[in-house]
Amino acid sequence: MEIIIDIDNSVPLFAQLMTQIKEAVLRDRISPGAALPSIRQLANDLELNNKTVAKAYRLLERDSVIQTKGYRGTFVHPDAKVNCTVDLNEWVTTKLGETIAAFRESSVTDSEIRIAFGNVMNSRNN
Amino acid sequence: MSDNILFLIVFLSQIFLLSLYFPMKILGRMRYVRKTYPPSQYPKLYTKPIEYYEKEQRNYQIINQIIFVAGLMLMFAVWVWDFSSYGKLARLLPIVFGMIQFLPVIRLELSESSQFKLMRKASLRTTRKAELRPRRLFDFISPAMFGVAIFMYIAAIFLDLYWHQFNFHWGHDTFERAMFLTAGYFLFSTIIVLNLHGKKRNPHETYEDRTRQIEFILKSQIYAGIAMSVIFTTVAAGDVFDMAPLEPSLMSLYFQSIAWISIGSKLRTLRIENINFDVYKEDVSVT
Repeated sequence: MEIIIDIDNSVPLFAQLMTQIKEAVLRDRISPGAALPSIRQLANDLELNNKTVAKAYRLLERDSVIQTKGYRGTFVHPDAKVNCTVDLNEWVTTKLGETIAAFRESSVTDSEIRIAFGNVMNSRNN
Repeated sequence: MSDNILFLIVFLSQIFLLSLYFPMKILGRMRYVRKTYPPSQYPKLYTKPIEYYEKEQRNYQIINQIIFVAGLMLMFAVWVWDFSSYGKLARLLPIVFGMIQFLPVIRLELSESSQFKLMRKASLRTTRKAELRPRRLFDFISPAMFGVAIFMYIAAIFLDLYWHQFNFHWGHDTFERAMFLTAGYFLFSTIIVLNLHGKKRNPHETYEDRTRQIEFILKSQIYAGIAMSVIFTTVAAGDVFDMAPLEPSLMSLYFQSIAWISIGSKLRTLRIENINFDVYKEDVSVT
């Protein structure tokens, strides 16, 4: 299974990597439990920064598409095929849309929502 | 005197093998590549004008010829003086001369590295490819072979210590041999790790060619480690079983075995006709 990254593409490199690994799982090009290359190997082969591949792997692990088993390496998650179909971005957008709609119904203005959202995000980050 | 004659035969074989036979094979390979894959059809294979490669080839030939003649002169000197009575000097001769014989090959390797660097710089491709498959040590070599290399390392050091009543201190031969053997294994391990997980040197190389190349390098490092252990054990045994006069011949045989493992098996395993040269054509680029 070959991964192809286009450095001129506007899509971030880690996102290209994530999409292709998910596609490979969905199209049965890699099976659940299959071993994946190490972060260092993939980064070197694709001539990318280790951090870029690490970010893609971290997000794929969060989505339960892959799993890291310590020193043994990284593997495709047993439920990867099902988990690939779950789009967290879409879920966040839907949930936020519903919340914003509820605020508007209560006559909260957009600028008030933006300020409150910013405050909540900042307080969480600090 | 008989030790001297034996050494002369073995040393002559070292001179012929490293400075005549293998250089001839390598030069033949260079000529074949230039003739079969010319710059007009395979421009990405040549990062410099063709004259540069012709000059490099000539230099390689001349350096080897000089070393070959020097080797014959050295052999004549060994024949005239009873060499076996010269102790440490006798032991060092095949090692130092062997290192000199390897210099043209090292020069070629360095030149190849700078070629790949220029290829990477010249590459205009915007896409990068990689196989979603892990590269592991035992995908290329068998666990048994790896086990033999480790066992030989431990056995070489243990037998050396045993034969010398566990006399292990700075300046003693056993200590020196153990240090050299450890340094050798460390070097071989580093080469293995760099090839397994390191950066791709040739930007145009196909996955299959790279896999073959890695397999060859890994195997040759393991064999080189085993050969080193065998030679060091034999040299250590020489102190106990009164085989010290054979040491120069053993050292010469060691260099010859290293040459067979590295250059010989490279020429045999990585055959030109199995390498995909289409990647160096103009039209197969930029994607």
